[in-house]
Amino acid sequence: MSSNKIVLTSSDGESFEVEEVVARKLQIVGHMIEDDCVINEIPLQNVTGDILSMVIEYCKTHVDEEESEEAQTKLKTWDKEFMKKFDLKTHLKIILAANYLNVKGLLDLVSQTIADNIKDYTPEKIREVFGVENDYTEEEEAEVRKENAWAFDEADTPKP
Amino acid sequence: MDPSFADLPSSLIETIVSHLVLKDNIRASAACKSWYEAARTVRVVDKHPWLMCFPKRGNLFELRDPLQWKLYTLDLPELAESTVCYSKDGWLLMRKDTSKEVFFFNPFSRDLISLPKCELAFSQIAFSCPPTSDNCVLLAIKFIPADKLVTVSTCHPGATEWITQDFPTFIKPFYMLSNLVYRRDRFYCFNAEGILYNFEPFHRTWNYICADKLRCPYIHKMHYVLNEIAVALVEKKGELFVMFTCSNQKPMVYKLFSLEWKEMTRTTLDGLTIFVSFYNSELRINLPWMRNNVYFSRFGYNRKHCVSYSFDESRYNPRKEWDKWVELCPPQSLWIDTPKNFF
Repeated sequence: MSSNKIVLTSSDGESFEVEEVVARKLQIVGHMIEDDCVINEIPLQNVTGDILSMVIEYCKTHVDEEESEEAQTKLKTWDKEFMKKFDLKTHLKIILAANYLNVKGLLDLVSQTIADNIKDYTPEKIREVFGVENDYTEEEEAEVRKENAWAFDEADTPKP
Repeated sequence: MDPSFADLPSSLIETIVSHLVLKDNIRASAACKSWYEAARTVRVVDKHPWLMCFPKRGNLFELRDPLQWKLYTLDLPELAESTVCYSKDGWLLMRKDTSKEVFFFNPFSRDLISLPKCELAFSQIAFSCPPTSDNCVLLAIKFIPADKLVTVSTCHPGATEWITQDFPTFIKPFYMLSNLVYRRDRFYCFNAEGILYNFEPFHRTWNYICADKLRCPYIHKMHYVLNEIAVALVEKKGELFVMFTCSNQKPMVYKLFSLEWKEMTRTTLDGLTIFVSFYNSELRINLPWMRNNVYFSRFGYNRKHCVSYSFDESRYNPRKEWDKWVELCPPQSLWIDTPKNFF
């Protein structure tokens, strides 16, 4: 098989030349290739260059996934180390990119990483870290907590 | 501009939350409404069974939600002149009063599956899995204490007859017998003397000491008559549990670890909910509002809820208004799994 090169361009104009097998790991690109609408340069509107380069690094590493247990363990270790390099904010950008570019393995990896980081968080901490606003009324929030009171440590259950 | 986590589409919140264990899922759901929606969508929780009540006459069957006490009535002429024997996975096992024919009935899909006549006047009967499954087996047993025997009858959907066989059982049978449950490849039965029996239908083997003896702690109290004692055996995900109670005494719950019964935490029941009836028992984990309770199939006086024992409050609700086990778990009702979105 000839190794076609494809150029991926990010929203901020950065270009990456990658082999077709790597580009196909981005299912959004894979579908374009199958639909014959690929020339040789693909603009990707919703992802910036810094994040796209991380996605490409992931795809290159995962391009030929071997079945053997040893190779799988090695990949898993690489995945872990790869995720460790980034903070929560970058994880967020990666999850959005993985979702948009449709890279299933990366989506699983980054969502697992985020989940591992937020487990044991109190609701207050989740709001703070994710910048989400508490849109419950006091009564509604009390109801949600009361329904499964056991899941909330006594310390963070509001005192009546 | 940097995106913030607040802009995450709900499908991505769901993806993240789906990697959390139940406790973290619940905590995350208290952050805000969009996280609540996502967490609820992916939360895998047990559903409590419903109480099905059999009328003394007529074909109107009541289904009660033990939590909301909602009532649904089903008109099931198919069940006329027959008696319920067991229930599991939303199926009922029924026996015709006159002909002794046994049949499966699903009150929700109204599927009826006939079986051959069962000659054995069994004391306990059960089935392993839904009759629509390939490996469904039925077991009916009757102890014959005088001969130190147990008579065992087995059958399966599509069979033309029951296969009956006697097995010696040298341990003195004891008449406070639990319901039968199926676990992995065999049926289990327990009695208040603390003996766990099992029967393996494939090789047809009867075993009568399958775990350390666990005598019902209420037996030595001589002032309790035997028919006040309740023994319920429960299976959940390959684990066996047994519950004893006596009159208005606190239910005692034990879990089997290989050969040894260990008592569940006395104060909390470890987040379990057990539903006990005359015919069957069900167990659920971390049910909202219902954790750490044993529910019995008896209605309270005002018929507003069923009798339950709360481990958190260390009391029965309502307080004692029965003496015998058949009053606490009357033979007119049992617990049944309801299919998703039936109501």
